[in-house]
Amino acid sequence: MNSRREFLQAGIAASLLPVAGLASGTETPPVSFYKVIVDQRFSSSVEFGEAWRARGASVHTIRGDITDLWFHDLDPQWKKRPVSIAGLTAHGPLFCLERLAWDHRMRVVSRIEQRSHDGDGQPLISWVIAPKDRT
Amino acid sequence: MPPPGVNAKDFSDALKQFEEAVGKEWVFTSDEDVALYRDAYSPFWGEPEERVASAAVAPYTVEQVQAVMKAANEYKIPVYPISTGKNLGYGGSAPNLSGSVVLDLKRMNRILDVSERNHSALVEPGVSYFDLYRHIQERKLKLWVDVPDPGWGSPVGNSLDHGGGYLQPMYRNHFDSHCGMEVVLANGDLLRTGMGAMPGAQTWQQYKFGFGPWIDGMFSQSNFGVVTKMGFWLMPEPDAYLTGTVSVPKYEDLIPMIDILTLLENSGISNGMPGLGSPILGGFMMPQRAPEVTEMLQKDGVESASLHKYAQDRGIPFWSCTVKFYGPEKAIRAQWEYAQEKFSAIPGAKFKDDEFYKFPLTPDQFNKVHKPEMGIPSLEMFSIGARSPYNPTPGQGHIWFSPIIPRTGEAVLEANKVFAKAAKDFGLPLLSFSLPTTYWMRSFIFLFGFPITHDIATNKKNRETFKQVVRVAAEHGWGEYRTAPAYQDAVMDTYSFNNHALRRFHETVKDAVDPNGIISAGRYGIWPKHLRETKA
Repeated sequence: MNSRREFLQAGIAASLLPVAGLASGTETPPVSFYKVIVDQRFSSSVEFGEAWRARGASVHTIRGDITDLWFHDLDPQWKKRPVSIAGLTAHGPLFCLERLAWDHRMRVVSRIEQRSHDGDGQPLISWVIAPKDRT
Repeated sequence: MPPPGVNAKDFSDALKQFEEAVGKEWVFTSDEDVALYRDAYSPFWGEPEERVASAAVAPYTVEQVQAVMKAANEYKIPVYPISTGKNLGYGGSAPNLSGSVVLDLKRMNRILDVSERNHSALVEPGVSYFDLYRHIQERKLKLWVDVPDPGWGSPVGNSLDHGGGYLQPMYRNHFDSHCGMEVVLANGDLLRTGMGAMPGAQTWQQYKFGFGPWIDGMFSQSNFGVVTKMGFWLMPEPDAYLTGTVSVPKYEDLIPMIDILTLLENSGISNGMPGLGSPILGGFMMPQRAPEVTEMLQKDGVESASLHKYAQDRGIPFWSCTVKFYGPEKAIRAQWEYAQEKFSAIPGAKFKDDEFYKFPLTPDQFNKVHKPEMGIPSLEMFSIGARSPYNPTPGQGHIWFSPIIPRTGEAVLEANKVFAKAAKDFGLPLLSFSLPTTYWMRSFIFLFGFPITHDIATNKKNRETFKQVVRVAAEHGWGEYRTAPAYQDAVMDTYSFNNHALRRFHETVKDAVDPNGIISAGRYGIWPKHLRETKA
């Protein structure tokens, strides 16, 4: 279990803008995330990933299911050290990741509904999960 | 905000003692932190009645749990233990009694023992199914964990709540597959059950019963103690897995089909979790239903003579059953052959070979299979679009209505009639026909997801309807096996034989083992003495 003090102090506020801005086509400064998560079922999510990859981010692609990402990557990583991730996904993957992140003392620090939709007509969401101080 | 009946000073003093016990950083009182323990699928979402915690405390050791309980008992602080708190659809991590302090056991995540020779494990409450699966995989042990779906909870929490999985019947019932537990009582005393009661016992995870009354069941779906360790029997990795489907032509064939299936399961011939289906009615994992079938169903229901004729004229089977086998290839092929012989007693029965895998799976197979049936935890369920006329807002959750019915075709048909009428009477979207799930060997569970919305009026209506459906089920002798805190009193009310003798017994035990009523007040309808009258 990680210490409550293990959180990202700097850069969180800055990191919110690129994700939100990127989705609406704004030029943004480079920001470091451990992984950027995109869902290959949605073209806007794929484009989001390509834009982040061009900025040097490590992009992980899912097809709705986060099990593999969680089991092979995030869970071992977050057990060692909580690190920030970002994504543009449907509600379901974010719902899972948010709850799993809570167990590692992390929070969703940005959550912005996008204009694009999932197969159920619900807006896709751009988001950032980061270690967070609770004081 | 202090818990009900606790003054601010006592609450503050108790929190200080909690901090001394576990360290200041593991006592959570800020709104932001406490909000994490809300039930994401609460049927009271956003209403004053929503059950919310006042604080949370996260011990790391059994000794810390004991210290917390002693302090809680001293100050009469209601506590609500959770393991990983991911029991969505049945309450999540929110307490029955608002203002309780969540006793969050997630940090107690040690896998204390896994025996490949005894096929068993001993774990703490914070160990998730993923953790145990990883532990086994990393050591290349030939063991499978029976996991629920989704699989992000914990063996301890899921089994204590009577959850189920997908492997052989003796593992599928998660509470049945446990062997021995350790419990901290309300006064901080420490108890071990079964053989664990003997210091230096060599067989804690080998023999369940120990000596004298077997009390493990009293710590499941209850509030008599805080379980801090639990043993489980694990399934030896089988050589192979085989599934085959039998389909039968007529509506009435459901009755012998289920009887034969039950005989095969209770004889140990078929040992995987069977799947019931209806090729004519369609549904999950079935062909899409024809529009004219929907019309006939809406007009005359599943008993419609024109529907039966329609199916027969087109040679579409009315029912199907997928039978599943784990074991050595030669054995399970013989078992499937024997099963076909038995099902052949139904005129017109047809058979189809489905899946066959040897273990370990290839990567391609791994990606293709329904993972819980291979003992692999998965979260895939959350990626499946679930929007439907029955649940227009799946992202906001659901509550399971899950009555146990007899394992017979007659009961399945009768339950459908009863619940279809109830749906009509109470204005629920009509489910034209629903087949039960088959977790348990000798009974069926009907599972209906009641939608949760963020609309207060809709939730209010759904809550009332849920209670009415619980009553309707009980009038037919069908009781819920598990439910969310919002409905636990209503369900316990239906277990009313001899003027609620069972609940009165629970209350007698509660008063004896937790006289201050500090553990999970109200859980499964068991209220401590000082709250009983106000809750009545």
